[in-house]
Amino acid sequence: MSWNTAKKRFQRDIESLPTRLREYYQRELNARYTLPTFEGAQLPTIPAPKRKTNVQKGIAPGDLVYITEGEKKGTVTSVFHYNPSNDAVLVANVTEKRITPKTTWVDNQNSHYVDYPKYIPHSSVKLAGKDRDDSGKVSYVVADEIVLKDKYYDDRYRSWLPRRFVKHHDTIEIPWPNPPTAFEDDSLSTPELAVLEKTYELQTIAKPPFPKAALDQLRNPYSRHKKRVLSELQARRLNSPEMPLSTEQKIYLAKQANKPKKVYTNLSEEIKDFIGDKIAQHVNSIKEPAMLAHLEALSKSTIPDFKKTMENIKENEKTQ
Amino acid sequence: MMNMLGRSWFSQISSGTILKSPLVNPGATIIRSFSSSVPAQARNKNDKFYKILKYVKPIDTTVYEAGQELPAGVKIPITRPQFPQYAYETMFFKRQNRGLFGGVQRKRSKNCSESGNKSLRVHLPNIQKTKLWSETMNKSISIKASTKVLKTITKEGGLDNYLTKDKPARVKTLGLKGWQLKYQVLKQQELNQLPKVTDAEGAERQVLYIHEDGKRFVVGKNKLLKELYPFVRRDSYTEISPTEFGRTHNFLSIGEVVKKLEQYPFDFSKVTI
Repeated sequence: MSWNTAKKRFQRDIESLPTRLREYYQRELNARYTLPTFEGAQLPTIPAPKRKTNVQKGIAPGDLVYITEGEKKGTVTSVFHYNPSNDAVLVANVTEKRITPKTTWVDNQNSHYVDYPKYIPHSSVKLAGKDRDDSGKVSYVVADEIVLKDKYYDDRYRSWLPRRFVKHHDTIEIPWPNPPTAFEDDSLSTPELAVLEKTYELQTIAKPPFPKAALDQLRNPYSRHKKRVLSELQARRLNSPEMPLSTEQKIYLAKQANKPKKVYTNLSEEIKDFIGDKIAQHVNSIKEPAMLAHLEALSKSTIPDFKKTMENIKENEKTQ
Repeated sequence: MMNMLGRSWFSQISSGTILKSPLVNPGATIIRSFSSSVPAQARNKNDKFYKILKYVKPIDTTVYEAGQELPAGVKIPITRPQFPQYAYETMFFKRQNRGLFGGVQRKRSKNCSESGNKSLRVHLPNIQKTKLWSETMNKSISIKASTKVLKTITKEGGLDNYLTKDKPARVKTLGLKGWQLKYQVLKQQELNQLPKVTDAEGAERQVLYIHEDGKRFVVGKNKLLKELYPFVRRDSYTEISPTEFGRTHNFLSIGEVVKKLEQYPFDFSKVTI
């Protein structure tokens, strides 16, 4: 939000009003600020978001148009100017008699009452194309509607422009006219070479403005904020103290420490035989083949603790 | 047949496979850790204290060492932590971290009007502001406690007994404040267990620290640091100001200060009995 909202708040924004009101206020403004003798254009203005450029409208200065309404109806003339705020065109030979204030007079004008170019709505003209056949006979093609397709780079305009076709006739293209003659250089104009010369380079964070080796001289490489290892104090600040052991815990640990260390030994042959016999006796008493298969599968499963115990036994044997 | 089966079973032992049987379960010692460990069953709804465990503040159990690479994403605090980390600090109904709540929390229910309209309401636990006497610390502690906890404290025979009990349920329901009190009580108990001795002049002195080699110190860490300062200063090629000395030595424990003093020709008879 900008600071000058208060200024705008008390302005009447004509463009945000409904069409009827907009026209009314426009007329009011015209009536208030212009003398009745110097009346301005009466064409309604188009709200800014709805305005279109001449390229979007498919019309350019120098185009031929066929006038469909008004006094000059049925004639083909060329376009001088397209006005996006009124969606209107200035064309050759369409003028009106107007009283002009002296401030707007041009050279060699000696009367208030002059022929003044008249804006006519874009809807009352149709784009025309000039065609000359082999015998030299000139004919005009008037497009009821045009469509804009594709894009090409026009070297005359130095920009990308769409191609114009007559609607429903994709083969009939109406090319853009030659642009009005280029400006001629005068004493204040800048030569093209001077414009194209690169005297300034945009600075970005992607490209450092000074050599990388100069960084160490600009900033302290040994700053304590750049240390990548923990200091003694930092380590101690990160470690919290241990909860002291309670009396019961101390007693428990003392008892555990007093217990003799468990010694792992291999089973003796006698005990192996005894366990083997017991299990064989049990297995032989089982009649169901499903149960036997189940036990067989069980016997193949491994227990990680068993491996550990066997390792412990081996270690114990080594020490002895 | 019988023997054959028996042999085949033992041949499996030697090859590393075994029949699952209680008879031959290898004797693995089960080491039970104390209850201050991180809650492993935190998501278990069957746990009696799931309301505490469902969302506890995670703790960092890493032991950091000097010279270690700076850990990513770890903020180094300005001061050293005063208390041990508590694994059951709840992240909701946080007032229970500021008193002895014993795990009681607010309950939810609905008010129902005569016309049947229901509106949500809560029932807060019965919390009383009390002063509890700590026998160990020899002072009363002003604290908010639930009536349930007050009853338990009476049953246990005092605040200190309530705090220092090690059962998992007690540790979980202590709350952050209780955990911190427990630390203070246990530290004081450690200190109280140190003997009182009479010095050469016949005055009774409290022993404050007993070193590994049996030296009994009657002065604290600060006085020992004062003794250490001239030695360190003389040892250094550059001048060491007291502030700089403090910055590098204040964080040492009393045992570490004694070990540093042992490196110098320091007369320990001044500070020991």
